[in-house]
Amino acid sequence: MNENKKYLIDRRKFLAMIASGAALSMMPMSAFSGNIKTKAKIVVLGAGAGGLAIANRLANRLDGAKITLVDGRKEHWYQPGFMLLASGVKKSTNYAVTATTDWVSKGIDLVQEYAAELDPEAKYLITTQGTKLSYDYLVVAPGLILDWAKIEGFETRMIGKEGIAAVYAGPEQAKNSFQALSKFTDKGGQGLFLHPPSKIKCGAAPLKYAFITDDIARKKGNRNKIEITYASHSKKLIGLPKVHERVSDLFEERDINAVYKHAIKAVDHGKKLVTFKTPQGNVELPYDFVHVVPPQRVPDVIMNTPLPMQNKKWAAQGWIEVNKHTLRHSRYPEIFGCGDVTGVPTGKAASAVKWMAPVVEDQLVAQIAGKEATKTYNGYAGCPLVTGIGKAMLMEVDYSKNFIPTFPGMIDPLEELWASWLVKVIMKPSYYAMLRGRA
Amino acid sequence: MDEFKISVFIAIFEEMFGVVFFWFLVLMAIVGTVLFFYFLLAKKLNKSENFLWAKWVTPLAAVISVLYVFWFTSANLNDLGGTIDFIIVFMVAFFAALASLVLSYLAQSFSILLREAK
Repeated sequence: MNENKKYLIDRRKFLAMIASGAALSMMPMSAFSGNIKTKAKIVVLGAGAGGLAIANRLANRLDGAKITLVDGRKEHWYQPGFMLLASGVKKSTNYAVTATTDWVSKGIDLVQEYAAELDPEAKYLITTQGTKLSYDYLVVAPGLILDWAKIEGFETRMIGKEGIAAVYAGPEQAKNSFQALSKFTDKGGQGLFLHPPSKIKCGAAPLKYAFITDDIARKKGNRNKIEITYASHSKKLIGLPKVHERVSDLFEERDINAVYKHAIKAVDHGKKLVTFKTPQGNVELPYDFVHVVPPQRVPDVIMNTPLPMQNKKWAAQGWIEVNKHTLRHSRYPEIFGCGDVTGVPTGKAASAVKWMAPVVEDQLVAQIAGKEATKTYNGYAGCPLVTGIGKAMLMEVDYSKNFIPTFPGMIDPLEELWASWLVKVIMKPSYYAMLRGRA
Repeated sequence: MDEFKISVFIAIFEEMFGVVFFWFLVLMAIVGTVLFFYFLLAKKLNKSENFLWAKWVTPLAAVISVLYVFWFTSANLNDLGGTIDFIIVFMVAFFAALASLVLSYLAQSFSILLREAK
């Protein structure tokens, strides 16, 4: 555990950190923190965490701008809460569901229609109901889609039934997943968890659900009745080598089997088999309980544009090509990206959006004002990697893949702590303050 | 580093409690503290019966607050893994004890004032 000592600091450093924090709190947010007058037409595509945070921030900064927020979904989902619903910690879907309109500031036109077509050359967007919205600036933040069709034989209606869990699918499905988990940890059998062959939002969530299942079974006294297998699509459990090693140790300690280079291909509900594509050919693994995570990619409206990365490696997933520090599109300078849709080498998480949104605001406002922007994104993404109900490891990293703990010396990123779990269960007000553009 | 700004903490607490209730709590905390020192220093109502009552109230509040936090977070003592966990538990207990001390002194002081008024 010598590695962990690196994150400990002495009292002098701790006091310096508090002092610098206090000093920072007195500094202006940017060189041009006042409001800007403009008649710019700005369209924000997507009213998820990124879209709402940016639209609200821009509405607060720009006088006279026409800001239009486009999203067909009437509900706003607090997605970090899905895992708490799926683990039975939260009982009602109300915990994770609010109305999108609850979070839209005055001065923003909300168009509750889905985007159907986007033309970045002609600078307009058309909705599924035919509304045409031309723009001077566009913020692309539609999130990603769960590509269920990539899993042969899988039926989403089965979620919550006959041993099928899918935490990502939505609040209702997350809650229903707990019913399936409950039955499994009562009866016993083979539990199967997996990471699909794509980048996914909250990349640690499949690991978390495996740990939670282990924990619930132990607390029921039924751990000896279940076997747990985790199938990773790559040769690691998670991208960060230090975290991979730590999680591998915990898997060994908790008797969780890991198999690598297993990419989900098909589910047979009748035979209760999952087929994986592996370097040795197709492999079938049986399950009594499986947490299905589909491959993920950008929505079709983005896929059908020139916005995605041109790199063939990522072509099938379509993440948009932005400068990783300014979040401005590489080929269309009036377009910015925020959140899951961006092709930046960091985690896809609400915590990343928290740090992306102020950067997009700053860069876009600076561009309108003809001034130099002052904020850049360092790739921050944080995740409480839950290792049981009541404990987690709070991992915070940047583009360098180094840990950048918010509370250095107090919270060790590789130590299972109640304090890190606390972050998971009490972060919702902080998330909502972020949506309003206030945090 | 928006997270260190006081306005950010206010925004989070407003989301947590609701705007009106949060500022009501802030007001109550200020009024309670001022009255506490007023009764303690100006009116010198620090009679022994206050202390006797507070002696029972403060540890009880500390224990109840810690149990409440564990219940609210679906956790238990076994989940405490590092120094920071114990520090947080201690802080929860300390501030609950402090708040209950102030409240018990206020309640006792009001009851003494009422008794003397009669």
